[in-house]
Amino acid sequence: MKRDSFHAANTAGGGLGGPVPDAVFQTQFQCCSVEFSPFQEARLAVATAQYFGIIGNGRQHILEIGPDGNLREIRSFLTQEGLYDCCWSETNQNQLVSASADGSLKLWDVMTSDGYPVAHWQEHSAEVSSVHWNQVAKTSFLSASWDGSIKLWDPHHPTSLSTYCGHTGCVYAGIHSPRHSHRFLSCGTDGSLRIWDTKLPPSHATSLALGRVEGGAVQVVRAHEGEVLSADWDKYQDFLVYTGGVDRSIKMWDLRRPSLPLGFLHGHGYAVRRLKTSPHQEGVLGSVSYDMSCRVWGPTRVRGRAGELWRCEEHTEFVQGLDFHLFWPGRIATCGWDRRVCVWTLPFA
Amino acid sequence: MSSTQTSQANKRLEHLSGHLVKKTSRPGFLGGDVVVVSALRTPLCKAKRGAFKSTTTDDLLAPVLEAVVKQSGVDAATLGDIVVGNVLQPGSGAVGARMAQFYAGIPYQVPLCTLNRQCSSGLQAFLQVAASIQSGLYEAGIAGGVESMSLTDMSTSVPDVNFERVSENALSKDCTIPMGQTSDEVATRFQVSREDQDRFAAASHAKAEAAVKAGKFAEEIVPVRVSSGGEDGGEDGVTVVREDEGIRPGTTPEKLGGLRSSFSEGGSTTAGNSSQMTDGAAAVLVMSRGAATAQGMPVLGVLRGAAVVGVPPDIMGIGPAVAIPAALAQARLRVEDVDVFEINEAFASQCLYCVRELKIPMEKVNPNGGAIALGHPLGATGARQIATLLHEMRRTGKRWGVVSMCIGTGMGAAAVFENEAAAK
Repeated sequence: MKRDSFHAANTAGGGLGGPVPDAVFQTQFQCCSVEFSPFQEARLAVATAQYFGIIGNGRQHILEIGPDGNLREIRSFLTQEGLYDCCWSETNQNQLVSASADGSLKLWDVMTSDGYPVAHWQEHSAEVSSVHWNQVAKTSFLSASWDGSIKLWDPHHPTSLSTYCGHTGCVYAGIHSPRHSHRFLSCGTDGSLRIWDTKLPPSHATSLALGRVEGGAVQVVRAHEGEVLSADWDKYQDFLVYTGGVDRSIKMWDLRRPSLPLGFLHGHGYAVRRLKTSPHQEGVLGSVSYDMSCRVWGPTRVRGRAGELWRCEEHTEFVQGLDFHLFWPGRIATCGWDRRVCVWTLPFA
Repeated sequence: MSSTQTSQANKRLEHLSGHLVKKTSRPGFLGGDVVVVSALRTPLCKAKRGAFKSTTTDDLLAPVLEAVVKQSGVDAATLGDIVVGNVLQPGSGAVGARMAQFYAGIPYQVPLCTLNRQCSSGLQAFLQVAASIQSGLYEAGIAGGVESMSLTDMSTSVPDVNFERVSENALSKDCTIPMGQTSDEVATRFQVSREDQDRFAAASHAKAEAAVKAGKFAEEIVPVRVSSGGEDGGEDGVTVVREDEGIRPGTTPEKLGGLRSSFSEGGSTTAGNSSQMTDGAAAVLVMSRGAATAQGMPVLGVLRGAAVVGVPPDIMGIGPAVAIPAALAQARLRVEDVDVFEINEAFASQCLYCVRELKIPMEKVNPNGGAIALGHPLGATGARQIATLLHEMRRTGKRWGVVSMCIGTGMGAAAVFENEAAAK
């Protein structure tokens, strides 16, 4: 990627009226999460929940960007409870997992003829907030729950492989490292960012007795004063992690020296709901917020310091979901409580 | 809807509303919180005739360096740096300050430097340590300042410059105007009357006197042992200096009104409404939030914003009027949010102008008196003000405080502190 391409772009808002989405899809329920397929470039999954996820049903949508550039639905699954997150399988192009408000996980197959999941796990005792497939080992995925635990799963195994406890309060995300199959991060209500190693037994904590690490995490970073709603690994540097939270800030962490954040990204007017780093451009990340905006951040012309590069304020409700397209640099998707899924092309890539 | 469903829905609603709270804590200043753990000063003594008239800066500085280490209980070997502000000593007294570090028992492995940003040197030293901590260079350091105006002569410190060129450049030329004349200029240009200046000066003495009587300064003063006698022909001995010398009880505006102008014909600036020439030192132990928490240190104050700005050299006294809003903007505060201001009283004219310009209620300004009563040991003043401010905020349970001063050659500096105990 050429760094100059950032600067050529019209930053922050893209001029009068803001940027315009390439395609929009209206869902029945409020959208909670969107993820592009790692196999089919036109396909994306959207998890939704009725009545803002507070009460009612859920629906897992599978959408496709048609030849005409418009979004259309190719499949959807109705669920008893709202769906808060979803992720695609890394081994089977037709399968994806949904995180349900009733604590269950559901594995769907787009090719089935009935409306039932091909696998269903009920272990979490509270809402599942996040699911994330291991992109290195590809054979396992993580779920994070309001019950305070993170669980590791094999889609072919009837029960979870391990349970990781340590957070006090809800866990909002469990995200595998994009480079090391055995590492993952988590974040939650307790304001911490935790790094875990699946090679270590989950009972690691008790064996350490009163040890300096908590609950088996190999590292605990006091990341924000309030809740940490989202976190992601930098896809280019092993030791870089980003966190975003209720305090409206995004912080950048060097795990080798976590006593202070490496940097801040300020701008969101309300809690940062979700953030993801770009798979295509080093130092670039996107974030969506309760302030109804989606922002993309990266190195700016001001001494290369990270700042806002792009912003859309198209959504008319809390923005909940965000993803970077894996094959198409500069393409992102957002979704929110305005029941809209939007696909965008960033003016730099 | 069943009751289970209702309680579930309520739980989720509560959860969601937790995401929408407008956070109560302030944004982190740059790279994370920097906290003051200890802030102490020497007594401030009259230059040339006070208790420190023959005390060298190393002897003034060592007691405060030692005291902040002792008070906090920090392991001196873990300090990342010591930065000392100084204006008048040759080379900012770099060698003497390093010697003072060793007197104070701080090991040689801890580095030290001195710096000079004129009257804000003590604050600049603090900001340098704060910035280093924020950028992760180290976790703890000492910032301080020291000045012996007894052993130096401000009036003869003429810069070694190309005066032909200076005279051709209006701004450079303005840098040669004596500070007292810049004060007269501020008074004239912004209509600060002689009467108002004298009233302000008398109030400074009265407030300082009250503070002394209430024993307020005891918390921030480190007694200094000086050898007495000797040159005066008396017998050799050691005197412990414990109190400020500059305060004149019973000072009235009327008495001050009888003084002649000191700097220019018909000027309103007098010896009585200007800061005093003073000897003294101050030191502040600064740490990252993480280090302070890990070591269970008390947090006296948290840095929330800081700014140094430039102003025209001929009216350098207006510096705080520009610097304070800039520092407050960083802390996302307004003037009216601040509870206590320590604005250096270089001259009553400029301090009063800044207070009026920023519409600060007079009762919030220098509640324990300022440099007119206590004195202005140039390089130490910024650190001295931090000590006075943070102890005052802790005593009174005030949350927001500002330290500010004007700077010769046309600048202003300001820093915003939060007393977190008052936020709860």
